[in-house]
Amino acid sequence: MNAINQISRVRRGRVQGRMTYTTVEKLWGYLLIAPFMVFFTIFVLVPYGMVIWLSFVDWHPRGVTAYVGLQNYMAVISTDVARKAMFNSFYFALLVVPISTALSLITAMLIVSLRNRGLRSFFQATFYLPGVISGLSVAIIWRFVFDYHVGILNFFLSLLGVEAVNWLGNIYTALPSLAGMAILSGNGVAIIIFCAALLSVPADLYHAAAVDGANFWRQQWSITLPLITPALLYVIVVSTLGALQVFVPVYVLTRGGPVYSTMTVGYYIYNQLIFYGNTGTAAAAGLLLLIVTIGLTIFQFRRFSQVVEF
Amino acid sequence: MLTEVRSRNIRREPLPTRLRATLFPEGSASLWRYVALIFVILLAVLSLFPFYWALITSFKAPQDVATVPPSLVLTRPAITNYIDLIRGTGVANAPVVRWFLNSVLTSIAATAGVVLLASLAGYSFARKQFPFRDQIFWLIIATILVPGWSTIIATYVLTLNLGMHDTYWALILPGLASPFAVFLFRQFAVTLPEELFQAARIDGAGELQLWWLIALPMSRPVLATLAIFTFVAHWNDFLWPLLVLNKQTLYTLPVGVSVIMYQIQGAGPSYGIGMAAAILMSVLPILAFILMQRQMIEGITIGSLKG
Repeated sequence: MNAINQISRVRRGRVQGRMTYTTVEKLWGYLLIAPFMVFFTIFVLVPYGMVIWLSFVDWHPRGVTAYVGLQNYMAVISTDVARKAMFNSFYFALLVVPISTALSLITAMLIVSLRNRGLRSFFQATFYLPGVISGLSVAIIWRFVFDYHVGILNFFLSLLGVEAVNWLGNIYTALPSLAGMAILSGNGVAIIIFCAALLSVPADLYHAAAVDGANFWRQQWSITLPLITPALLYVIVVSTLGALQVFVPVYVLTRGGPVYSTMTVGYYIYNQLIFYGNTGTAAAAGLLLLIVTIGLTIFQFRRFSQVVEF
Repeated sequence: MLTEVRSRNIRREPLPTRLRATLFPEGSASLWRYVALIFVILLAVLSLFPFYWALITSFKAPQDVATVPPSLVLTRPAITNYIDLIRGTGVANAPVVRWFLNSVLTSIAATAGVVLLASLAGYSFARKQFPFRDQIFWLIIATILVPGWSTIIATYVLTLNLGMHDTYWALILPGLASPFAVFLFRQFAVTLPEELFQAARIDGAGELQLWWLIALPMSRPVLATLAIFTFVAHWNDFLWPLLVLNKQTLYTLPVGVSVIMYQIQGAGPSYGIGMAAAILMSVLPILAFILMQRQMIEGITIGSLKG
């Protein structure tokens, strides 16, 4: 009895007033996170340090690793292919993020306006389904869809009297084709997030606005938009990150071609690492991507915090 | 949000009417709702059509795969493409069954590890008091925003130096510390009632018993969500296995399929094999999704609306 009292007194130390941690509590706290922290340190934190080191050296698996200063960064910034890759990744993100965000938002609005709860769940599940299928499968399927001779896309266009387009073999259409694939097959998560956000907007607000004479568009602009801003921000940040790193569709559909027109940062890093063995340039390109994405994320947060105050 | 999720896991209750926001105000013409329904159906057809197309193509006989005009329905079902795929057509003795088993094995191992580590750490972050707890937690969460491409080179070099390339370890260990998993479990564990833990302590339960006998059973829904997300993510992962595996017998299914696709150049009739491969890779994730849709969809919402 005495022992139990003692235990509960020790445990309750933080509950009763003084915010002090008992030694036992602290120890168990650290002990329970220790297994995770070991792997987190080795495979997440250590690589952060290593990638910075790798970007300043000429690394060899078996041999001398020499310090080369900013040479790797210069190699990335000054080569046309790397600059083209940066440009293409931005172009791709610029095509994909606004269109797929708008499309997901519209789809979610249509879904939540259905009255039947079962129907809403059904459509959420339907739109999410492609999201569980691997990017590799999706890309293989779309390679067939885009095929110049036997692809279904050109077949449908021929029904409309449009001449066959060599979607993946033309420098002007290759990257937009990849973007089109991303727009049509990657919306599941965004739709579910938007549905949850839209469903949490109190209907009272719409009633009140309607009484005040606000029309449909005014209601969407003044009520829906501000209230779903956190979800919108999340979706935009995450899909921008994903779009800037696009790799699998490039790998399966175009391998960076034709004439580097689909060379993206992800494919560039892969190429440098696997084909040329240039870990230095790959690391430098990766870090430049990191700097750009951090900047972009901060910019997006700033923009949105202005909208929220509105 | 989280308390709502919990209560709905116990019993599904409709949202109160007050919360039911709609695109159209209550009482607006129901015609518009039918228009909305039609548009939703159109969009759903558009987004699912490629998968339908892949499915029926995979069951076509090779000579029917690349016809012009293509037939949009399945007239003569055949499993030739699947047999060709499993026999490894195009790649000499491609061990597709072995690749499938490699994928199953490493995905299960990784899932078990992630759930174990994340539930221990998440429980601690949610219910223990120790210095720098919140700082450590936010450090872990912040890493979610770092692009994978920025550090994958270093992880590649690190695993190479540790001698893990061309072993299962390279597929399992680097993904074990999943920040998202810790976040998900912690968010759930925070909402568990403290009284349960107090009662168990008074009954003399030790710290590990509190985790094993109280926290884990109470968190079954979130554990299921976590397990399914981790499994599907590992199963679908392509880039990392592609980097660290060179030995053909150790390939995971996606790496093996990508090699087959490269060798047969995936054109003309061989698209049938490609579609069969795409379907084969999708079977387990789709099954998992059908069995656990609700947990997955709730998991996405928890992950995004930070509690």
